[in-house]
Amino acid sequence: MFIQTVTMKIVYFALFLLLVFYGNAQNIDNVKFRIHYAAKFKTWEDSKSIRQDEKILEIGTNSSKFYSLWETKIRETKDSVIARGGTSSDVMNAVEKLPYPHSYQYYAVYKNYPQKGTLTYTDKVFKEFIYEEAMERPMWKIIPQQDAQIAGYACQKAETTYRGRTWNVWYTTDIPISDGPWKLYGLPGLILKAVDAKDDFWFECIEIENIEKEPMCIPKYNYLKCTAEKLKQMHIKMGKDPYGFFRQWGIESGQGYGADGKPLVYKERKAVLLEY
Amino acid sequence: MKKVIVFFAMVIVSTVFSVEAANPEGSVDGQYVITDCGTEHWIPASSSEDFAVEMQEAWTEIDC
Repeated sequence: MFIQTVTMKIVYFALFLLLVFYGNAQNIDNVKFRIHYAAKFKTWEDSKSIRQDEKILEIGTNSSKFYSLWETKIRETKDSVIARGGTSSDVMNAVEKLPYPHSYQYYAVYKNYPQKGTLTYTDKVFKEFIYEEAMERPMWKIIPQQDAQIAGYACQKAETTYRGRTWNVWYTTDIPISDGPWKLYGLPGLILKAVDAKDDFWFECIEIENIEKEPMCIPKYNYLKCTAEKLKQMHIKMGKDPYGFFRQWGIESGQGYGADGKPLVYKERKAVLLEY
Repeated sequence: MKKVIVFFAMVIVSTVFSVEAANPEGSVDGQYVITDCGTEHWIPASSSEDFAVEMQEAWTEIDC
């Protein structure tokens, strides 16, 4: 009896989460494949630690979507708790129980959306931002005799210099889908691994799922329209001058204090960006 | 037992609590958000729950 009650509560909560999520999202395509990538990245130039995430590449009939699984799950939970009238403490408690830690990488890349040849990019730098741009295919150089086996697939190596970074990638022609992590695409097969030459960003496929009848969605947030350049400046400003960053949104934060009770002093930090 | 105490301590530390706090103008009307690494940042008392969560996440991203 107790187990039945708990099971029903879990089912109702899951249904509520689905309602909250799909009620706030627009269906843009149907997912055919879902590719999971383990991701590692640096946030700041002087970071000693490397942050991690699990990224998802959803391949649809006409478009694809690349996003953070962890941050998406956290956001769904947070939104559902707030929608039920929960407090910030309730949100924190619910998020604590999730098996997904924060990665603080909120960007999502929609290729061939809203139309073929256009890329839509969303990101959160305190506020939600969105921009569209023409898709720019990287100029690839195939590197012979450096094959590798990734997620059980035979892969070939290719290299490109794209938007300020040199990327080494491994792709498989066994999956003839010209797509990959982030904005990378344009090879005769799916990119299963991508590493930038400075080791700031690393993506590696860990699982591929065949999907039937699942919608690909774009969340309906209150996006602020911007450009890639303006978004870049947001990230830079946040690292360089956090108080100034919040002040530009009309938020006066006052002096922050460390865990030791001493006033926080922020040194200028350089954000590590995917593109420059 | 120790693990249980540590867990609840973490939940409390990573939450937002209302306190009588000196805001930038020197009055006492606000609350602090506590980041995952224990730093504290003042926000107005009138802040919504959603805003408090957003500020906690943003400062954790910056500080931790």
